Amino acid sequence: MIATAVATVHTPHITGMADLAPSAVQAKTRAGFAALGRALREAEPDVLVAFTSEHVVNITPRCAPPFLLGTGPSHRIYDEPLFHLPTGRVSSHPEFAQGLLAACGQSGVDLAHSTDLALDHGTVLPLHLMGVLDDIPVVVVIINSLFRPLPDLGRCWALGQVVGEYARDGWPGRVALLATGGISHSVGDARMGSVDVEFDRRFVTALRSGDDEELRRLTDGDLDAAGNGTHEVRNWLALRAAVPGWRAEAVVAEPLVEGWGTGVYQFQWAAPTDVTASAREAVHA
Amino acid sequence: MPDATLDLCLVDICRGPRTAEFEANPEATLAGYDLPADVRREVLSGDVRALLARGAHPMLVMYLARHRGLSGPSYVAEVAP
Repeated sequence: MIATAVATVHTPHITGMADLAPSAVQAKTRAGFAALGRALREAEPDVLVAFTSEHVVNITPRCAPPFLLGTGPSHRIYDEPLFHLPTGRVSSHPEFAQGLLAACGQSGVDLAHSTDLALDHGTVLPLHLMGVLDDIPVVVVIINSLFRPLPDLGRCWALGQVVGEYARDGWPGRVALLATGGISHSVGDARMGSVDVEFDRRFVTALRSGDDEELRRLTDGDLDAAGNGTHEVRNWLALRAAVPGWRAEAVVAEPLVEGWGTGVYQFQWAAPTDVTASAREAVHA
Repeated sequence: MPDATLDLCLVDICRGPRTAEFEANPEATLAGYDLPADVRREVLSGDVRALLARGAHPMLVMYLARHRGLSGPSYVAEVAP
């Protein structure tokens, strides 16, 4: 069963250049991570599936698969000293990963796979700040958001559907889901430091209202127009597809944090009859 | 259009196996790549605007700048229109 689902940005400013943002925003962001972490722990999952992005660690122009699943017993942490994150390894769940790999293949969503992934801030920062880095085995699904052609948005949705089906019906334990990245932002190009507030409003509104048709209307052109980093919303779309009918709650929604050059969005999803309000209450208290 | 050789070079010297080699001896490291002389000069000098104009991957250009000691805010100012 799917025990809970959460999503968050992973901008490295949060740990690497926190002081560029107002202290109130820093505190709110950290409180949001803590709240998401509490939600994850309260759900008591056996495994956490992370739909995530990375930044030229495993995926490079030499080999850029659409989807890359970690199947090893643990993942190395790619050291990025500027971001002040832990080093070492993150435990995983090979049995779950192999089952997911087979389920995806049988459903026509083929994943590349690796027993030797290295995880950068895109995954490690949220796990660390949520306080679950050492607590929950993490199965990582990296979605290529960097090197074109990127996976078709519809395929990302299909990936999420298959992951959701496997978590619900193919695995006997409790599964939590995480998406990291985005929403609109730009990395490395002339628009770096800016966001597309209107795109974010459209995306967040669709998430909150469960408007899957609107989410599925998004095109690569929409994402390009909102900034090259916006392609990380593939992770959010995959997560949403995994939990049809679930209700999204914004734990933190800051449209633009000056200094960090991005918004801060953190969400939790809950099944209609299984509302966990602790995250929301913690942040708004 | 992306320049495949340039992007692979930037991966190697910024994120990959030749980072230390590039830091120790940049010109000799770049000699191993089939890059035009002007592109080689832009990489060595960290001319991020020129590299972006050539279609180099923006994230890789940002990493090159970081290796050359350019801070995040300075990079943003450098590449701004």
